[in-house]
Amino acid sequence: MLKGLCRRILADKQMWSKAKLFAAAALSMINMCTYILMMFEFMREEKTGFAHIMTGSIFVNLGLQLGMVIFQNFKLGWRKALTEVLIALTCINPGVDAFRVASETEIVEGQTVDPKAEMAFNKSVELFAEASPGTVAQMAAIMNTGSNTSSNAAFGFACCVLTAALPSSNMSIDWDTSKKKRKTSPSIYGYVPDKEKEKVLVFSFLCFLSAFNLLTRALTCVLLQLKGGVGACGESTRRRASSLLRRESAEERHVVLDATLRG
Amino acid sequence: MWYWMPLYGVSGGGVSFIARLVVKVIGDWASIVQMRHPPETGGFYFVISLLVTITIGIVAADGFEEVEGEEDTLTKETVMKTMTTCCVGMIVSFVALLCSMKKAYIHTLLSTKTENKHLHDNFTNNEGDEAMFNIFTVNKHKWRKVIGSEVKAWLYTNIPIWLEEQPAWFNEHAMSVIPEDNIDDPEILAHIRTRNVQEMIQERRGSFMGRALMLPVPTPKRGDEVEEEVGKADAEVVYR
Repeated sequence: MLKGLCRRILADKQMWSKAKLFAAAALSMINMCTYILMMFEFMREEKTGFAHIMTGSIFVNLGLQLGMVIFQNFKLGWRKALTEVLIALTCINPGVDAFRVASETEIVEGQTVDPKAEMAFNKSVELFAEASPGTVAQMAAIMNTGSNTSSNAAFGFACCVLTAALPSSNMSIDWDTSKKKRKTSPSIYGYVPDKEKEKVLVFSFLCFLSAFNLLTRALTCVLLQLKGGVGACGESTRRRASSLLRRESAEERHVVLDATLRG
Repeated sequence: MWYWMPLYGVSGGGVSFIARLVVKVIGDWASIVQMRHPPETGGFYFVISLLVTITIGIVAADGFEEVEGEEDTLTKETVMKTMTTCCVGMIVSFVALLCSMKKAYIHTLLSTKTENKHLHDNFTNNEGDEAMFNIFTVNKHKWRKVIGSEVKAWLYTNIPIWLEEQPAWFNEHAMSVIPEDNIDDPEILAHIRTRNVQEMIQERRGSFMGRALMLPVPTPKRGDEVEEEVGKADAEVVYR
């Protein structure tokens, strides 16, 4: 049954793009919930440093999104602007954006950009202000607690990584398959194959690449912070390499000495 | 230094700085393949960034030291294993991506082409008038010095043809994005600056995003629109 549903979704291009949109929006909203949940958990456990990082990133994200909402709707009157501000404050913005794009809502006179551009902006802000710093903070917390990591923390972390990976792959695919962009800049746009199955493959590899890259960077940041910066880590690697070289040259000297003595 | 958006002066400089910062952070952290475009970070930088991530990651994991005496901390072995899994995952997914994408585009991931060169090539390779026309939606500083005279000559030859043939893409929005200093002939200028086009330009001047993205200004259907269309048709008859 599930296989049949997947086939139907893949066969219908519009349905596939809508499914992608709503999946990313749902994930984004779940991530915001787990983010807030984790923030309170850190506060309860008196890990104020992590709690402050997460609070800061939520405020930056909300602040930028509110700025965009006001910029987009201020010409339409305070009632409309206030409604949009409330939507942003209740964190259901990703869902509303996805609905508007899926239902092909047109730009209204007085608005600055169309719903597609607004959604792309909000996704970029989410990646910039929430997903990237959130992954680092949660990775640091997990490393700090070791084997006592709660399932909430693990779930929140997984959501954070997926929230970064899915929209970024979505954006890549959507931009590349845009007919207008392929027509105006064919030397750059067009790397995604036209067959649906191959498109899904590319989408999955983009997701994996994005997720693994984010994990590597987050882990690196936490390790560097523990060690005291890139310099300190580089220094320890250099010392280890030079001691290894010294040991090798000492062994070589021994071999030469042995050979001389035997000779 | 300038970002591709056609914004100039202090606001243009500020927007360029912020845009470059955001693009770099998003491109580096989420590895969006679209950032390999010359106007963003470039193909070569995209691949180098992945390699640097792996190298620094391994160096950082190698430098990790366990805290002695504490039972519940991570061991060096676990850290090394996690880092190796992440790095191998990155390499495998990147290679799989290279194998599954269209082969003709693989070179774009190793390209060292700059944004200016990309724009000049797009224009001079002549991929059709509509594609060439995109030059007006990007910052003038990026092309005026090198191919400015070519653009002027191209406009001088082609605007009369477009006005006569009226291709679908050469609409009022397209007319409004042509900078006046690129047209020396006042007669041609008069034909592409109809009242509607001038209104569009005025409205865009009042909107920051409109200027940044050269957006078509949404104009509602008005009663006097019919008059405008009649006036435009008259102008075309006179021109012919």
